[in-house]
Amino acid sequence: MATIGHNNLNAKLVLLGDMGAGKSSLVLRFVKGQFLEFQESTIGAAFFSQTLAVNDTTVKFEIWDTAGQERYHSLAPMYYRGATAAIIVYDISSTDSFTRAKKWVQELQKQGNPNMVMALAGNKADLEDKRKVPAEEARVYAEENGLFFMETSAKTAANVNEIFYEIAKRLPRAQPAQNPAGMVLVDRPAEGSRAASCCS
Amino acid sequence: MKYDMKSYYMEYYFESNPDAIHGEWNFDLHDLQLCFGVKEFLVIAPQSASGVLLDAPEASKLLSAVAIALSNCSSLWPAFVPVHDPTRKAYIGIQSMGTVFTRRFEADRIGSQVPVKLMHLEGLYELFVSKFAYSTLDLSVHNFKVQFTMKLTYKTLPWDDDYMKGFNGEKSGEKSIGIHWDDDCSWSEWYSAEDPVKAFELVAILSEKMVESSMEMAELENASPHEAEKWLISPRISPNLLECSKGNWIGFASQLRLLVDALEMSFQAQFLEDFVSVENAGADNLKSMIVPPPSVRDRVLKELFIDGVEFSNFTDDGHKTGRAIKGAPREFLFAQFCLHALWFGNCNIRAISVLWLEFVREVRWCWEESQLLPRMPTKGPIDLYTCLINQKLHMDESVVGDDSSNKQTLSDEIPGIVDRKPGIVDLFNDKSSDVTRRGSAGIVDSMMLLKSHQSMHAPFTQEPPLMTEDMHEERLQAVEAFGDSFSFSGQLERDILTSDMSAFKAANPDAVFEDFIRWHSPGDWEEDEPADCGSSSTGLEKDRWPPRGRLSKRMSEQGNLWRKIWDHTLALPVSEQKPLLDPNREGEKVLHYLETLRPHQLLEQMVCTAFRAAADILTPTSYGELKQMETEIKQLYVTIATALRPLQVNRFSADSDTIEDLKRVTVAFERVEKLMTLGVSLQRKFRRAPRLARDIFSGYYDFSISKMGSLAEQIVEKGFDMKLELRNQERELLSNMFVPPTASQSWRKVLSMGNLLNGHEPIVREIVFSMRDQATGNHYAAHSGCFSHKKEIETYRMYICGTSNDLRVALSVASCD
Repeated sequence: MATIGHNNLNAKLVLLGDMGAGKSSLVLRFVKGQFLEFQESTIGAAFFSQTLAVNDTTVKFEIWDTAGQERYHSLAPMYYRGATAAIIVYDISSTDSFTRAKKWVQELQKQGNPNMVMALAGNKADLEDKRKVPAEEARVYAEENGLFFMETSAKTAANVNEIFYEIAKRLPRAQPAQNPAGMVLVDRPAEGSRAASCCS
Repeated sequence: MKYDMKSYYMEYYFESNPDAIHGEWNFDLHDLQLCFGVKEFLVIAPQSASGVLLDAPEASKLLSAVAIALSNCSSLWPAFVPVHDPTRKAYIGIQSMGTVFTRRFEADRIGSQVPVKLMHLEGLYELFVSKFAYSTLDLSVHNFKVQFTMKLTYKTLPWDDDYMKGFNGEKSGEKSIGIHWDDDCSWSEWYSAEDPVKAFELVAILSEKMVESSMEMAELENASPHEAEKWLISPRISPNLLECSKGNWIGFASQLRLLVDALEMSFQAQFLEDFVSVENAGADNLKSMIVPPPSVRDRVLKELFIDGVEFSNFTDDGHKTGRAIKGAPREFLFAQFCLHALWFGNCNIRAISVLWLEFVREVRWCWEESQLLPRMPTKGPIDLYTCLINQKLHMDESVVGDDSSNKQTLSDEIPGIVDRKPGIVDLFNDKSSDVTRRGSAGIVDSMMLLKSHQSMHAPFTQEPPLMTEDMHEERLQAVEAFGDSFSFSGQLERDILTSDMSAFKAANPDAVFEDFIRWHSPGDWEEDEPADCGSSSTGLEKDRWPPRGRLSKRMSEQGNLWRKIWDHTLALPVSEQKPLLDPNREGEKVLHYLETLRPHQLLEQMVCTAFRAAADILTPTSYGELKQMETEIKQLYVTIATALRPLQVNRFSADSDTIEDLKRVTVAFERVEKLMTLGVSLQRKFRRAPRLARDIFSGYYDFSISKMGSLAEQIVEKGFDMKLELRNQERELLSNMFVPPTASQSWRKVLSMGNLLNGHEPIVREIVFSMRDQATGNHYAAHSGCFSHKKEIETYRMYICGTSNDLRVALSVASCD
């Protein structure tokens, strides 16, 4: 849940996606500006935080980087529970990882926080010659499902900061203060004869 | 207006829509418009308590003064002055109709002892005709042709249970006495609602007729309302439905309001026990709270913990947005507890505390006796969207469930030589390794080990440990405190990985690390492209042994954590491993949580759960196709979720705003609940005419909305009044509602008016006689230019409104002065 205080926003963000899609690399690039050619496979989940300034607000991301192995799937809800944002990562050189990404989107739509900001990241965009997932296909899918889509490369840093920045911009600001009684007031057209009285 | 020490007030009525063609029986008509057949008019009345002029000369003086004033400004409006006793509703009035005609008006009412003659149409006709005697018009023609229309209003008997029994006699015949109309509604398990539809009024309108003699009138009295030109129905809705009533209306909303009160109180004490002990100093207000006797409490607990409750469908089929409300699904034990608590005593904090402490005692007993809790799923992950108590109970249940089931289920697993596909296993003749193979769940399709010519076996693995929200929270906080780290991996996940590796080793004694990766993280195994993919034996991998490929770079790095763990793992089947979570410890932790729960923590969760469960109970009710209802329900869920959000963060203190918001939600809840009962009630009454149910509901819905909107404007209190025209095929349905009165009912009333409908006489009979003069042939016609659009002039008009014991007559006579 995004919490607000003096133009500071804390946002919990979770990365989901198939193993080896580059989730950890993406986070590392964003948080530390580093890239390891062979990022060790995450066991369980890892936590990072990073602060971004968007317009007049600072957004502090609490990032949960999860493991992609199927075995850890059942633990995922605890990470995306209460998350304000999610990045679903796939590898553009693997159709399997794109299929898996779609499954994550489905699960989040069903189980996740309904106001969650979801981003679809086609990672390893530097591997253009090994591309298996056309950008257009992913874009269409993202549009249909109300996600925003970017192709990223943790290796070249392309679009990495941009995707986080874009999420920060889309985070819900203050929770809209709804009228709790939720009453609908409708103006009714005047009907029939109206009485008017005057005293003098 | 001041005159001679007296103030008068004037009231004007404007025809709001002068172009509209009004029939004789337009229901929007003002009383005086109906009586005298006028449109715009003016009433002059003194500003006294009675609001009438008791002095006859004063009245006529006033009236002529007004008439002169009106004619001076060439207004053609009629003016009225109320006279006599206010109960008589008597008026005199005058209207100048252009140059030659003047209309005089007179109305009066007999409140009791109506002469028998005037109770019948015949006598009323004669009364009207007798007025012609004063006319200045030619009386030589005695064959008066009088226009006549009639409106009859009938009312069904109140919808009490007796009546309903008669109404659906064939259906409810076998049922015992004391049934309620809503017995098969979803809420009836908890309470019985008042039927909001009290009765229906039927208005039958007879079209205009020419009547020539009193004989003819007498015949008309025998006419059945079935012959009427129009039938209109007007529901009488219980006024309770509209008021935001405190106390006199019972439903979920009223109980939820009490629960919110209890929440407010819950901040006053540290422990639930404080509310129970009466000796507690300074708790005068507590003493006044009534706790139901132990027998009632025991009955509730027995019902909650009843054995043999089939708990098969714990799929959360609640409203989609119901998940946004952090409660427990309504079939679950805690939700059932909350629902019972709502109706336990008057849902005060003391009663709740008593019930809760007993409830926890019962849960502990179940735990110690290794009994499964009822109304809880034993399998499946913990739903983190439910409230914490529910998660805890789920945890407890699973722990007990594991404990008791482990012994039996594992016994078939322990031998380990589970050859799900004996044929294939035999094929490879790997008996040697079968001896030591333990904890295998079967062969992994077409996977061969790297270093030995054997099929890969998938091991049984430990279920991922169940964790409640607060445990997650604890872990996440620990990690956050640890700070940013790359090398960090959750201890839990590492445990799971270790356990998986152990089990894998046990199931595949000859496996190497690479085999494990191929099974566990296939993405990290890079297979070599087959050299000749086209022609070679495309089928099974096992034909090409050993499988060619290598670990991904990241897995083959020096010092890889995965390999390190692998190297230090012993081969142990699941049955011999230490469980990921200690069930005894976890179970005790759950009970500790329940036993030391703070009052406000309990009440917060109860409020959330109760709101959700109550809403979930109401919504599946069938109310026909009512769009407004659907939107209302959707809106209600959103509203509840919004208002409850502050309760879901645990840092909640006695915040008066939140309590106020919650109370407002109960009002909204009440509204929806009442509309729901109305929808259901209407649907039942009009099963064969759903259109009527829909239209009446929409009418009422619009009315209730306008009512909410006009609260501030203080418009005169106006009840719900709706008339709906019936179609021909719907008439029968309605007339069936007028059950012929039973013998006991009919002797009570003396039938005196005629025009019976199934033996019921009208509650009101309204009649308009009118006498019209043809404009053609009238020598005044030339002068009355402004009325030239009318072909004829109503010279005499009489409105009669009679019930069995009072009669109102209004006469207007046009004459030329």
